[in-house]
Amino acid sequence: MPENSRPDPTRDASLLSVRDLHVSFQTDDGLVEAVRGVSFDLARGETLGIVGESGSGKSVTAMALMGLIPRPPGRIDRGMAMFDGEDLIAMSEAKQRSIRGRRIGMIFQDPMTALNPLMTVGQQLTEVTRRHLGLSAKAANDRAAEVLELVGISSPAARLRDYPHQFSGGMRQRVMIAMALSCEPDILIADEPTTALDVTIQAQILELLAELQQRRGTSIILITHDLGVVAGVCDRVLVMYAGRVVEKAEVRDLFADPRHPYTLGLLRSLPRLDRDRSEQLDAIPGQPPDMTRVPPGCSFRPRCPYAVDRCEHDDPPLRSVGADRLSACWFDRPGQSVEAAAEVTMEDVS
Amino acid sequence: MTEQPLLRVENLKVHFPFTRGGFLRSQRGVIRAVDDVSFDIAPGETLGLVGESGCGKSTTARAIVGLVQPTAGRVTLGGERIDGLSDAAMQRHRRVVQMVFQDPFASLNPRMSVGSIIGEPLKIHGLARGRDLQLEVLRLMDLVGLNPRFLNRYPHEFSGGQRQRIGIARALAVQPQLILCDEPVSALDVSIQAQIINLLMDLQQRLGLSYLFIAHDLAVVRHIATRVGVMYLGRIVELANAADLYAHPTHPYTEALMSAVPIPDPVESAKRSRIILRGEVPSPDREYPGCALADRCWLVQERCRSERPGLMRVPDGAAEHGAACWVRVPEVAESLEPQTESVNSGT
Repeated sequence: MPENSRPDPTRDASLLSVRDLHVSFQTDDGLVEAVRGVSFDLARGETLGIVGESGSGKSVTAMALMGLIPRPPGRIDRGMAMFDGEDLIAMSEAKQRSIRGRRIGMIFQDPMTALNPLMTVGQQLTEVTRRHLGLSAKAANDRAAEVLELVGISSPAARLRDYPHQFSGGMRQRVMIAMALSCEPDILIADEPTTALDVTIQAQILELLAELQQRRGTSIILITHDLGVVAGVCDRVLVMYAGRVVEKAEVRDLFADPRHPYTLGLLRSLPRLDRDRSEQLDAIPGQPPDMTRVPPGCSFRPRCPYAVDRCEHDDPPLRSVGADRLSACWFDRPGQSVEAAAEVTMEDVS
Repeated sequence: MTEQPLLRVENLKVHFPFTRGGFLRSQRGVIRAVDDVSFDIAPGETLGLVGESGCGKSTTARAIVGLVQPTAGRVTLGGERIDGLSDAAMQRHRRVVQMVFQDPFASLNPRMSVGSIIGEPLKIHGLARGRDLQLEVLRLMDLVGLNPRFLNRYPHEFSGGQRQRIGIARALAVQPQLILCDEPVSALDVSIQAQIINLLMDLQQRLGLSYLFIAHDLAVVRHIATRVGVMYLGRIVELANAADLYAHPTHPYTEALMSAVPIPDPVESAKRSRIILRGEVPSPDREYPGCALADRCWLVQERCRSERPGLMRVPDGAAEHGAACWVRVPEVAESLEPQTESVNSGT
């Protein structure tokens, strides 16, 4: 592994290394730079959360890693994603297909986007393992029943003959997880896996993911807008805003001491069951930027209560603001003196 | 409650008949979307209704305004019965009670400008015209925090949060006393949710509005509601002041629901013990003679399967704190169900 100047405690165990990823889409309203320079490492056995609101680029990042960006209108303009010595971005489509589903599994918000409504669950589960692992029909069938049991579906052998619509929402999500796990992937990318589910079912699914990870050491990239879910299951977190990573930290540090004003704003704006009720919520003013017209300087500046002149024309890079902490802000911490922000030089930048 | 309630819902039932099976051997059944629900809303108060998908909370709101016909029960608005009214007869009451929906895009006509959307109810009810109409629309836009410059723009030119402001302005146009808000912030981004919640609370203070606030997010409901009802499978299983409900959840379902809400604090989250309910919400096409939660409840006793518990006052609980549970609330407890005679017309 090449020497990396960035302080990353998990460097030795890094399974996936994404560097400077740029993805854009041609739309009727003009070019949208959906992902603008995203970099991160994923360690073996860890759960990395990617948090952001609609349009932040979190799902597009995942789609790029899976080779699922529709072209046109989409395009990966730059960047690499090293996985086991190979670049997921540069490799051929055939190669991508052989990795997708086998070594990197994916689960989506809506299981029906991943399940074929015209095939039984058994047919779909066996298709994956026969193609990727070359299992015999009998072995694939046994394996399918085994993974269904693993995700907590009772009488699995009988349910293999059922079609997706014969399962409830929570059970369909389990089937999709079973499918993603059937080839024992190294990485599981979960894009809003519980957003469409009720909280009691969400708790079951999150518990299941945590349990499976413990048992098999799968790395998980969990993409979500829900800070509660992140707090409950992630080890490290990337916060995205307008196509960029604005903060990266260990989960405890992020929640105890948010460094980017956007992260702080998100945490303050939530009504919370674990705190006394407040009279008024601290809402973040304004709207997320129109991605066809991202303002110059820091994209969060128009909504930021701490912004100074420098933020207007000088876009802060993601830089080190403490041990294992990165933030894309001229301040190390929101509310610091104006002088501190002016003093940041490019030497501090990772 | 001594004050005359603005809205009173008594023993409301909404059952949807359906057919199933092959086309020759079709067999009829009934979905009990709302199954004997009762509550009051006082002037200026917010009643929150929480519960998971399919619990009947949205159908309850729709039945109140006559968008679906109640199968049984009574809905009284300001002392007048409004259930079972014809569309024309209901028209008069629509000035008093308005709705705000979850998806502000689906509920706004894409071919109408913001000005005409907000002005339409004023025209329909004959409340303003010409220059007065335009002035009133501008006043409403200002009230909900929309820039009056946007008067002639169309819904697609707005973000989700701004579209929800348009929906709220339209609801306010006829100066209603009660607004039924059906998941008004659940489609919005986190940073925008708080803006809309603050707006709704601010409007309530300024205009003395009452809200029925329907949401699946328990933290949002705790923030906005004075009282909260928890629904499960078409029934209210617990009803109390918001502070009491969240401090002392009594029904096992309420307890499980609260323990499942993810807390945005990794330290607290690791310390919490979760109650994970077995299985999933059962289908509402079956009639449950006992408690609807019986099959999933960890406290279940024999009686829970055979006899249906009504809302009963929680002993040592705050006034008006009711829970429908044979195990948590002893038999001697006072019933909080409406004491009216046979408002049920059966099904």
